Amino acid sequence: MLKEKVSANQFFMLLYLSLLNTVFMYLSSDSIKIASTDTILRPVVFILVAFVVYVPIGLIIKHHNQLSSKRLYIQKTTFLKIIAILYAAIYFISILKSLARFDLFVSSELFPNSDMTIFIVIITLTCAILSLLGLGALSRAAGIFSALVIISTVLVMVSLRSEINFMNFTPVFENGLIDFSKEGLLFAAQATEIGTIIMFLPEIEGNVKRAYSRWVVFSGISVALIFFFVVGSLGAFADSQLFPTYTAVTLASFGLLERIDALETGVWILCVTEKIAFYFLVVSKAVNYTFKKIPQKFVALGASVLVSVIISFVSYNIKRFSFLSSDILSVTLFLLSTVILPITIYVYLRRVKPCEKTEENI
Amino acid sequence: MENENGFLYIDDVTEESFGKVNESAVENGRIIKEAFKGSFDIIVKKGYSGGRCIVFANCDGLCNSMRICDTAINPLLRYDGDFPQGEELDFICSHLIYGTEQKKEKDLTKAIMMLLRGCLIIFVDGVKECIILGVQSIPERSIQEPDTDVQEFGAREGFTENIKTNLTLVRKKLCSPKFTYELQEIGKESKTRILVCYMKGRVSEELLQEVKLRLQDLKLDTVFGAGYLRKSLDTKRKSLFTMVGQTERPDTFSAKLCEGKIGIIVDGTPFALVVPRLFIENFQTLDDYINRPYYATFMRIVRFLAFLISIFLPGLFVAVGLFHQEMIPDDMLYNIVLMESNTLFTLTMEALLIHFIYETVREAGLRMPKSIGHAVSIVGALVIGDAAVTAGLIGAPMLIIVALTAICSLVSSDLYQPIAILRIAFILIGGFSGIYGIVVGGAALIIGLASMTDYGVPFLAPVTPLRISYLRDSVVRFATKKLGEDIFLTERLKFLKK
Repeated sequence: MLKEKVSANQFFMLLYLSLLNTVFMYLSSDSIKIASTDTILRPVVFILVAFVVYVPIGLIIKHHNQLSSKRLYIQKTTFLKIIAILYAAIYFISILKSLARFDLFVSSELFPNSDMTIFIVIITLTCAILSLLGLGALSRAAGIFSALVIISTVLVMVSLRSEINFMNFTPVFENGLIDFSKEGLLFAAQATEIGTIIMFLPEIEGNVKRAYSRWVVFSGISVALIFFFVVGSLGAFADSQLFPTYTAVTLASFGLLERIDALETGVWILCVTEKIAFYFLVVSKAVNYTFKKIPQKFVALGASVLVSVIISFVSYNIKRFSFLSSDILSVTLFLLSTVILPITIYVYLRRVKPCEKTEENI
Repeated sequence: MENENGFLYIDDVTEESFGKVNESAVENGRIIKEAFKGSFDIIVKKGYSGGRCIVFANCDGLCNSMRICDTAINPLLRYDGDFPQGEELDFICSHLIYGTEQKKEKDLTKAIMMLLRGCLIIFVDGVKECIILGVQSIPERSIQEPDTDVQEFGAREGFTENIKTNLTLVRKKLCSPKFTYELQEIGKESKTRILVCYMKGRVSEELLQEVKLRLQDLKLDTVFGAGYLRKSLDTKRKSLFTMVGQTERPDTFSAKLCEGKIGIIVDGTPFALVVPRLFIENFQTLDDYINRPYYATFMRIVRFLAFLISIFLPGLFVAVGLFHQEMIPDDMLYNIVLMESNTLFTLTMEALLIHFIYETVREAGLRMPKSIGHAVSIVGALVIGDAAVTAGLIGAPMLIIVALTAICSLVSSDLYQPIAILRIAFILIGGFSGIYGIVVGGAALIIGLASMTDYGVPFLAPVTPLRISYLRDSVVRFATKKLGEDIFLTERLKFLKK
């Protein structure tokens, strides 16, 4: 039987887009200030955290590779099914988080005078349908989207260079190392996509460790560069903006192209579509793992309807939105998906006896 | 008649069976007459030679009557000696009749099938075999320059409706023993012959087996064109795009075989199929390999941009006009508003209406007799170009957009069908949700294209999944010397693993 495999680099391009989407829709809040040089250094904390959380994931990968080389596999148990459901819940909430943020972005920055709920619902349904095309389709498309994102972001950076005022850069660790670390950790906690690696291990081909390292470093550099231009061009003004990255982009103009922000926003929407479709895939795959009789397409479409209903309640309700974008929720989701659940899985895998892989039981 | 590959012979079991060749030549003639009762083109003639009754059967119109007389009937009937006992057919073939295409056949059903392919069948009384003599003279079109797939500097010959001529054209291009083909017969009633062509050593065995398997699965009564085979060769039937290519040119066909692809020549059609076809191939032409690399690269970029314009431009114009007027420079916006304010419909309706008119005129131009083609073109141009604008049905800017789009959509003619549908879809999306809706639609389109894989090869290869070494002949084209360093093989783009 032929199985579709995705190269590790392609898979991490998908995660790269997902992470960039977080940065593009990065919200300034009371707890996290943007207008500081420390913001540019936050990716360093992200890189360190990403390498630390890789430890349990790496152990699972090593275990998985050993099993594969011996043609062994772990049977589905109730315990693993519960874990899968937890993963589904985590990424379902992540979809809500991302969409709520995007809803706010669209209704506050793009179309301030229009009700964009229908647009969000359409995007949700589209993403659910796209998720049915599978990981291969999403990761291959991520290759093209990444190229578009990089080109457009570089274009924005080049055109923003004249807007940079070095007076906007504050002294490093102005508020002390503790505050810097806290803000850095909160930023790193946005990267819940790291947890998806475990779910797609059988479909990823190639050296995951190397691709992960590249992803972490490249993402860190990209984010640092974006923040450099945001802080340098906006300064203290950034903190008064809901979406400082977008505000910085609106300042950019390149020759005849006076509205680069429209181009850049279009590219961001590509990232959102890709990210939400990917998370729908994660949810449907996880649910399908537990309840094999429910086809993935029903799960994805059901989840999209549920998401649409919830989003329509979140839209225009700042309390509900605040809960979805709260730091505590982000940290909880991150710790669960990248630390607690992977460690639990690893401990469990070490205890159970693997079975032999045969044509019948694959 | 018989060559190494068994060309011209039917190996498959046919539905209707006439059994074995009878000892009595007259009985064989009677069976044929009975089978084709009322068909005046089936000629069964009786004669005597070597003291035996000889029956000749042929299909008039499919074979050369003069040649039959010269090579078989005259020499045979004028012979007044005896045939050696037990070696009658061998004696006739080696001493009496002429012709390079000769075969002995025991199965009457197969003999009758060959009769329908233009061969002469000779039955000799007392022999349970017959001679099949290749005297075909099937009416066919001469080799002409293809109407589609036009090249500026390439060869001026295209495939015809004759399978043998087409095979010869390919053989002429590929003077290599690696070029191989396998004959198959498809269609319960039409019994259409097809040739599955490939280059040994370049094609992957898995791909070959897959193609054969899919062709075997095809259950059709009739096959009157290459398109009939798409049904089984293309697994992505719901997709707007296809991974089954077609060409009218033997040189393009041969080049694809050299890339490790499989070509299928179908009897009775000048279009041959090639599988698998990649998305990038829609922007490549043979002229690219004749032109200077920088120009070939430039033209490929132009073709790709034309493809994008033909899909997105009307939708974008509608979206910008309805939702994002601030993106248009003030002077231009003033002119557009001035012209559009006189029209009756919204931009979306205008775009849909004018596309509908354009598609109708195009379809009429395609189907109507050529003699009135100019009249329709003039009427179309006048109605759309002048009267509709003057009457205030559509605005001049929209007309320009549609005209540009129509020209761009013809650049990659193989993609015309998906372009026509997608264009309408993006007009609706643009009219409903603006530029950001178009972006979501574009994302969906790219993900949809990325999801397409057939025969283990991704449609968007070598761009994604990225194969850097193959990018030298994708959107860009490197110098020929570099292209020759490593052969572009489809097999290496495969990504499915066991």
